[in-house]
Amino acid sequence: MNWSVTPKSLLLNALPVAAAVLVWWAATTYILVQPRIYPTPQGVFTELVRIFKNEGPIGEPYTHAAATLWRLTIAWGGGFVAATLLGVLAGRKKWVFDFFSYPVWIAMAVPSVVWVYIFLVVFGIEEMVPILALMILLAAPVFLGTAEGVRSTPKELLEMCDSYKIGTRQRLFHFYLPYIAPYMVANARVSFAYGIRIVLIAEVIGLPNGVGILVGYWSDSLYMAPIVAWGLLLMATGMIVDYCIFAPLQRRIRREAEPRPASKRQPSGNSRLKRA
Amino acid sequence: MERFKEYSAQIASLIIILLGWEISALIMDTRALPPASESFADLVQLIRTGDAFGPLGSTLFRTTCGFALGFVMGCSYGIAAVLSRTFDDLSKWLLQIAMFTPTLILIFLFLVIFGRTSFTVILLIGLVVLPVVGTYIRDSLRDFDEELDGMAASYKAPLRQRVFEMYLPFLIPSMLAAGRIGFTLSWKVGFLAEIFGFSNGLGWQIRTTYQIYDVAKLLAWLSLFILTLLVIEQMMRFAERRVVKW
Amino acid sequence: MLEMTKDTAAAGETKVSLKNLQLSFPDQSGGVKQIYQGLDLEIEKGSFTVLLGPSGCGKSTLLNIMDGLLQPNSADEILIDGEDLRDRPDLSRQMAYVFQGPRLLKWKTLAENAEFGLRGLGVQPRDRWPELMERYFAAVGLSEYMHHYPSQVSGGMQQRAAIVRAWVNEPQILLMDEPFSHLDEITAAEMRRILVDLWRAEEVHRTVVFVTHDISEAAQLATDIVMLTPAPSSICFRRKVDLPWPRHIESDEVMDLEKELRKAFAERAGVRF
Repeated sequence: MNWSVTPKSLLLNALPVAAAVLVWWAATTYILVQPRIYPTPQGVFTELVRIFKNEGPIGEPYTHAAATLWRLTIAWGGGFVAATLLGVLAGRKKWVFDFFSYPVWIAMAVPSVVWVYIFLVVFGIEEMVPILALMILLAAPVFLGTAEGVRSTPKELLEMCDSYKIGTRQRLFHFYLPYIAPYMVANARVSFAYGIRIVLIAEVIGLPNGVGILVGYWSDSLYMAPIVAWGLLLMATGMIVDYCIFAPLQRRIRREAEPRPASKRQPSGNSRLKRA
Repeated sequence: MERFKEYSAQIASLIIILLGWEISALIMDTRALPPASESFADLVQLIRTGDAFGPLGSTLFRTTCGFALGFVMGCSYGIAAVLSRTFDDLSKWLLQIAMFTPTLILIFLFLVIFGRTSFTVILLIGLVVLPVVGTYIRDSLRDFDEELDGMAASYKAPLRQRVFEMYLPFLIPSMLAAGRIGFTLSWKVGFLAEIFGFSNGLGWQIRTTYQIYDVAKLLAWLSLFILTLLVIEQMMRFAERRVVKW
Repeated sequence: MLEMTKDTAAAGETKVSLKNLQLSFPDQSGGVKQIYQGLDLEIEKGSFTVLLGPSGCGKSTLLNIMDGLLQPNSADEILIDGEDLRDRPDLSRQMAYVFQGPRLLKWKTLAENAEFGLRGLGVQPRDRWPELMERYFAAVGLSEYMHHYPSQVSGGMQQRAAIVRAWVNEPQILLMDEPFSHLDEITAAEMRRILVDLWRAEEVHRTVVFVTHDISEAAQLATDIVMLTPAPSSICFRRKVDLPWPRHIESDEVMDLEKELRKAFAERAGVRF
């Protein structure tokens, strides 16, 4: 992806967004005047201010947001570590990869809310349920990405390691890790962006707190402005984390990893496919 | 032999899951976890009585329409973004926004704003699929070998010939891959929309069985959901192998 | 026996004539890189002309200009059979190009790839296509592989198919840009033999313009050798070669010729091989 930024391209980037906001404003102010269902930009802004002031009908928004972010971080971190370890194994041994191919496929195919349903009825432990559901979903793409990364380590270099009698420790830190680092960052990036989109789905049922509960509450009371506000907040969080942490990290690691064979097949976080 | 090992490893995992499910259900012996055999009996009955086909059909219909919409829009986006730098710039932020918006928020907004109709779900699916297919097509089109353009220019191939004999065949594998991933996504988004407020389809059935705590049936419907997706995905893989012979 | 003709027109009829060619590109550092400053070149009809020069001297660019793919900044004339290419762009349909890599479309069989070129140039009547393809695929020994995809055959076979794609058009001028440079030496030697056989088999020889940086390759193929200096390039040495084929790399004549070329390169272009 081309990240060169010029004033002209920035203007072009922003123009349609500004136009969309304008259309939204005009439509909700003049045509669809029904602020509960068709919220105006001002209404959404007021809701954002209320969220920042920590005011809400069912508990403090900060508490809910913290609960959601905590779940997301735990599930994402846990899923990432577990899936990376398994992925390395699967990249080395073909049968491990084959063995996990259906479970991983099923993990990805079943939406998170259904995982929540199943875990709720089976385990009944409330706090762990959404975390577990998210973890399963986030681990699957990381697993596939890591296995791909490990399998892409060139055979000739492995032979070189053998011929120079490189020890396990050195091999791990100076050979495997640098090789799969770009894949790991790309995986982390994809799964985080994905996690922030679906964490709400896991939360929406049967829990005492979390943004998902808030959104569900507002949806039930047919009041749309706070939903849009929360949507904007989550979107902004996802983008900020992506641009400020993952994108620079990925660029740095890629520069270190080059030149690589088959550079076209480099994973590129944003263009890799995300699933809901 | 290699093939056989691959298949047996794949199937072993499924058997272990099913066995684990069956055994733990027998040990736990609660309503919360019915044995696998009971769920499958329910599934077979759903199919035999034909009760399965109504919900399956309506979910499949919405998913297919939404996917088709998103796929066409995504391909057009990808091609346009490669052809025109300006269009790429114009759409960049909008696409990022579409990618980072939580799916649940979109579902709630769409269902309330546009009403609980099939059309809403189709539109919703289209909108979620568009950026995924779009970026895939865009990125693979950018990988097009410029040397082939030079070759076509030196053989004076006219635009029509270039489009139909060069660019389209080049895109077909990407389109099939993007289509497969896009369809999985559509299937899930359509299903979620049904869970969160739609009164028919597979998602609705699962929600209902959850609410009346009929776990065996819930798992039966879920299996139907997974099996359908599996069949469609295998069909698409088959098509991929048949079409992409080179 | 080996007489030198320096920058003067050859004895036979002229096929291509470039006069006072000027071309420059902007380079990465923001400056301008001069490729040609008033280059003149004449190519005799029916000759096998080898353009020999170091990498980056603009040999391939010359082919692109002759094929009308690239416009020079200015030129007094770019004549093909006495007519200026810039007034008659359709003249470039009389030429066919063989590139450094095969540049085959991987989703088409070898035969379909050849057809792609036939349809593009459009100089051969459609009813002759099957016969032409059969003849030339047979000539390069690929009859059995016509309906294979490029991924199913070796690199040398792919390059042979690329030669067929050019040759089936029976072009008046064949432009070849280091077509064998990425092949291993044994395959390349076989390819040279196939190419020379194809060229000699016809009663009226086609004009071939063959670009290479390989002195030995030039010595084995050429009837005319044109040596270019590094950019901004000019012709520093030119001679006719009157040796019979097949030429053995180890024969005295070929070895002498190579020596002479190497010496000329060192003295006139300041390049050592």
